[in-house]
Amino acid sequence: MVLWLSWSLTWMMSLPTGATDLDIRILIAEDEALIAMQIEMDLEDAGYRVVGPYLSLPTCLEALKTERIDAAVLDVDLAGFDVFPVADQLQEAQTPFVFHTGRGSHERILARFPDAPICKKPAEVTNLLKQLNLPASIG
Amino acid sequence: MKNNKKNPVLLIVLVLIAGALVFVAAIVTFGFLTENTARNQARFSAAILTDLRRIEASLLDAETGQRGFIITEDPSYLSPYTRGVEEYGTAYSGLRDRLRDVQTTSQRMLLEDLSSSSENKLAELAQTVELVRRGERARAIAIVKTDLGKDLMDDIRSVIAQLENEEQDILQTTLAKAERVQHRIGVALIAALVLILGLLVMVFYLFRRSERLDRTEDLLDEVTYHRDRAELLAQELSHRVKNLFGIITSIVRMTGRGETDSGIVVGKISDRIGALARAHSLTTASETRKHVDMKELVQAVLEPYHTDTHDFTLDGPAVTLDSGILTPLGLILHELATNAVKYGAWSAGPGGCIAISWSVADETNGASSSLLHLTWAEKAGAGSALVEPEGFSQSSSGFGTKMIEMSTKQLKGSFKKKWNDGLVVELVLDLDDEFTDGSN
Repeated sequence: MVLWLSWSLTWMMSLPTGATDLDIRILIAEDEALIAMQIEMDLEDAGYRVVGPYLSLPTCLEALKTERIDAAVLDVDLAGFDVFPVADQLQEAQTPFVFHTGRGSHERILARFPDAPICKKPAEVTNLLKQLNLPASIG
Repeated sequence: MKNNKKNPVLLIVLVLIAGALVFVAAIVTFGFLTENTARNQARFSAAILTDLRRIEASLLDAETGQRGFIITEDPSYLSPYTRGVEEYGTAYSGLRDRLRDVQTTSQRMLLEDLSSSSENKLAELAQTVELVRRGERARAIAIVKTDLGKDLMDDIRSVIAQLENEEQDILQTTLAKAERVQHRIGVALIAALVLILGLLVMVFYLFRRSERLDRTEDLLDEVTYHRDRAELLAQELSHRVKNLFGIITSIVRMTGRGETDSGIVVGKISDRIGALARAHSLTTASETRKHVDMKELVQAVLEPYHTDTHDFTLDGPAVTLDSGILTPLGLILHELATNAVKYGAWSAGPGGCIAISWSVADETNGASSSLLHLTWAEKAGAGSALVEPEGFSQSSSGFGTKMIEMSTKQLKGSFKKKWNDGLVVELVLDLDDEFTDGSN
């Protein structure tokens, strides 16, 4: 607990942000509108900036090209498509991300991303943030 | 899966039946040949016996003529003699020819005996006849009295009797052999027929069994199919339940924000969950891929708001919706309905009505797709008018608006609103797009 707090604090200090307004941008990929909205609102309440939410794989991949992203919450199945191409790009860019899935079995995810954190749906935003090594609130 | 594999046992049995039939054909042919041989032998033996009798008779004739001539010295008595000698010649040569290729050793020797005895007999007869012709009857009688002729005749009779016995033996042997063969063939035929019958019963049984196996396999396939289907349904259901819990959690959390009055919050939450429940009640767990009718969905969602003063009309063709559309479209319709109750057609006096209409247009640009155009048009009742809310044309950041926008995005559709004596919402959805119900 102390460890991750100190780690995230150091990480936060290294971010190029204003003194009061931390601009941490979290991408949301989630195909269920209500759940996407809820995560978006909760993240915004916690003081984060939300990129998205993206409800389909093509829009999400498009966003990766143009948007600056510091972390990501990824629903594994995006309207019938695996979110893995997005995760691949994030991993390459060393951007932290957390998988948010309703599936009981995580084998398929762990086979491709053995170290990736996974949260079971529906997850508290605080839990998602913890998995991303981010504080519960920066407001 | 049908049991179309070659049955090796059946094949073997059929080969055995074919073999048994060939065997039957072979023994029947053999039996026929044996019988034919026996019949030929009987005919042959009868001819031999006739020859032997002719030889004996001809020699007796010749002797009779000789005796008559010696006694009477009348040449007319010689005619049996002459005929006998001639008859002997043909009869003997006939017998010899007949036996030439088939005679046994003893037959050959007896034939030689017969030949020499007969020649001697004929010589004795010729000698005595010649003596009588020359008037030396006393010498001829003396020769007869030597019993030479009688002895020779006895020899001849004995040899003929032996030849007859020999021929009878050969005939009997052949007939006995034929009879034995016939008997054996009879036994073999019965055995073969019993075998064929048994094999046919086996073929029948094998066919019945294979039929039963097919039926059992069909049944197993069916059971497997239903079990797989039940498993699939269970998985699907589990996913949907999890997903709905996620959605309900989101509804609760989001409805709660910004509201201080817990009574209002609870009311809103239960309304939204109720709309969701009504929309989902249209699907049944009996199908793996669930489809719902457009009209039923609208009716189900608006049903609790429908009163004498809150009327709505439905107009559109029968459209089947994928179940993935239920949550977003159901929530959109519900938000529009609550908005109508608060600010729209159902808020201002009696007679307010909402006209909901839809149409489907097939578009064939590139890949074919069918677009659903849904129009929600509110009209005030007679004698009252709806007032365009302030800032209507500006984009709203209210929860309802945002939820509608997001849900439209989930349906990969477009959403437009305008004011025409009341709120008019136009929603376009791509029906062919694969909607998932987000159950992941």
